[in-house]
Order: sequence, then C-alpha cells, then structure tokens
Amino acid sequence: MSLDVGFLRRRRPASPVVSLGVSLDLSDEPTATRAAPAAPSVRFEPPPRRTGRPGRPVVRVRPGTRTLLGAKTPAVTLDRLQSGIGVLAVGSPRSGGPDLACAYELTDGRSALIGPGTAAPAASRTPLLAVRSRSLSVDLRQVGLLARLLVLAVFPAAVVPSGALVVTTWDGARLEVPLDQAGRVVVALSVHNLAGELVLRAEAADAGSPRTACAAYGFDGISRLEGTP
Amino acid sequence: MASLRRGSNVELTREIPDLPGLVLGVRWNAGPEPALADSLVMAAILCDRRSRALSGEHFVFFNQLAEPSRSVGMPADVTGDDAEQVEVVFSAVPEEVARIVVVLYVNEGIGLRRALGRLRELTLRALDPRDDRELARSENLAAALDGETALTLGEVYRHNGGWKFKVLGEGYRAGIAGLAGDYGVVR
Repeated sequence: MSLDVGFLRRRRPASPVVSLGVSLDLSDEPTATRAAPAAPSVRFEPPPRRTGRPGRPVVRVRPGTRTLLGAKTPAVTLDRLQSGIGVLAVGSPRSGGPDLACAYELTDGRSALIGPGTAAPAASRTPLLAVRSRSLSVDLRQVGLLARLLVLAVFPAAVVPSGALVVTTWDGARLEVPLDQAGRVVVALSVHNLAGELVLRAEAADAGSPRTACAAYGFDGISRLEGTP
Repeated sequence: MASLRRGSNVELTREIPDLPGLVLGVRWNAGPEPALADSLVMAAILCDRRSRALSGEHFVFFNQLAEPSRSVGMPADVTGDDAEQVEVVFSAVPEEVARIVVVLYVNEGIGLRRALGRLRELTLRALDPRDDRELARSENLAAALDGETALTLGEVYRHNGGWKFKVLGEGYRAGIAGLAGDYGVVR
C-alpha cells in the first residue's frame, strides 16, 4: 500500500494539546517542566499508543463497565473518544454526600479554584467546567483547553467521609472513587490531559482545606475560591 | 453547479481518473445561536462492507486527528468558508475500508441542549485536494432537520475500483451515541 501522500498540503500537529510529558506516574509531585507542543508533522500522524511502563500498564475502561478506582487500580486512561465526546460527569449521588469543588489548570496556564454554582473559565460563552453542589461537568468538546484538574470533596463538619464519587463517560463507562479517607476536605480525584487522553487517578488525600490542596498539588497562583463550597 | 440532493451520488474517479483524494468540507449558519456553533463537531468513520467502524481508532475528529493508516485526517488549515474539513488519501485507505462516512453532531455540553434544527444552513462539499476546486456540493441539509442532534452528512465509498461520493443527510435524535451505535464505533 502506498503511503505517498505528498500532495496533501495542509497538515497540523498530531497533538491538539500541550503534552504533560510521557510519564504516567502521576504522583503528588507536580510536573515541573512541560514538553513543548509537537512540531508540525508532514503527515497525519496517528496518536501515540500508550503502553505504560513495565509493571504499570495503562488501564482502559470499557463501555458499559464499572471500575473501582482504589488501591488495586489507582488510575485509568480514557481513550480519545471517551476523552473528547460528550461530558465527563463527576457526581456524589448519595444524599448527605460531600459538596464538590475543583481546581483546574488550562493549557494556556490559567488556573482557578471553583466551588458550587460556578462555571469556568469566567465569562466564557461556552463553559468548559461547571460545578454544582454535588456534581461537576467537563465539556469535552473543549478538552484541548484543559491541562488538569483536581476534584475536592468537602464534607460538612461532624460528618464521617463515606460513599463514592461516580464518574461517567459518553459510552456508559462508570468509575467509582471511594470516599473513605478521613478529613473534611479530601482530594478525591485528579484528571490529567495527556495529549488528548484523560488520565483519572484516585488520590484519597486529606487536604485540610481547598487552598492547601491547591498548594500541595502545585496549583500556584490560586489565592481564592470562586463560589462557595 | 447543481447541488446534490440527499441520496444522490457522483462517480468522482470516472470524471477525474487521476483524483488522488478528497477534501470534505462542512459549513453551517447557526444564525443567532453561537453556543450551537461552538458545540458542533465533524467526524469521519472508516467502515467495512457492513458499514461498521473498523474500531474506535477509526473515528477521526478533533481529539483523534488521524486513524492508524493515516489515510483520513483533519487538515491543519481549513480552506475557504468551511467550518471543518476532513481529508482522504485514496491510495492509503486500507483494503478493508469500504466507505468513509462523514458526520456532524452536537456535543452535549454544559447548559441548554440544542438541536441541529436550529441551523439555518448546512452544506457538505467535496473538493479536489490539489487545488480546492469544488467537485460536488449537497443541497441545504438544514431544511429537513428538526430535533436531531447528529447527522450523517455524506460518504465516500469504493465502486468498481474507483470512488463515489454520496450525500446522506440521515438524522439521529439520539445524538452521537445513537449514530455511533449504528456504525459500531463502540462495542
């Protein structure tokens, strides 16, 4: 089969977003340096296949299945369709569950911490993110704008954390993130955009406050919370 | 040039035997609905003889700019007045691909759910990739739309060793999930 496609004259880089690098070990330490955007290619480059590292294979989630994110499977990688179609929905469905807040960072470097009743970026005609009391939505049409986000579960005083966050994709894949970490403010989930594929990781970290969570995860420059968690 | 009605086709490679591929462009007029325009997505699905997608990797859109054989992709710069374009290289299309279906859908984002019936105009064009000459153009597909949130625009398919282009215009009220289910994108 010929791959002589030289007559095609309009190409764009294979990656629509800034890559966070190739390591899939999304530890608590923020990534200090970012890889530069891919140089323009001369052909339609197929997206890189993520294979993970030895002993740490990439875990995919199949449509219509249910995956528990925890000690056994701390992180999963959504495919390019799951990362780009519909809405990524995060919810705490149980009544009496925590309120949600979220720290996000865009590929242009902007970041903020938002609570219930807030859409982001501020003044956007078509929001990328919306936080309601018990749910968070990411408009995946705009996934290329998103570098990463942290989902925080904020429990009322005197409530023992319990229950689970539920994440769903357009094709009916369902992820459950147990909320059994002690603490009033729990960093429940991180989402990283790795060149168009979203990596979701259970964090289960007691953060103390939303602001200390931001600091611990390297969200510099966030000084205040928009909305009220 | 007369516009092609839904269901009609042209045998492109009989008229232009050395045609190396196609650019398929879509353009729309969302009138006073900028949020609708923001949520529209063009995609191409590489299908086998049974009109089933080869795999999820054969669904080409903004978050997957090419499929594994690099025969279909989203070009860097959209030419002319098209909102989005898909480019096909005939010689690189895998043998098992019988047709390439191009679709448009409304991504269900945050806020009001909008339908394609709000579009005033929606046209699919087929261009010669060497000089952007327009080879065929669909009728205004918006006229027949109402509550649909996904739509097959047209297809390029193998025929007697060449390629034909056909206007489809089949809508889905179940959106991209319904369309993707019909074409076996998710299984």
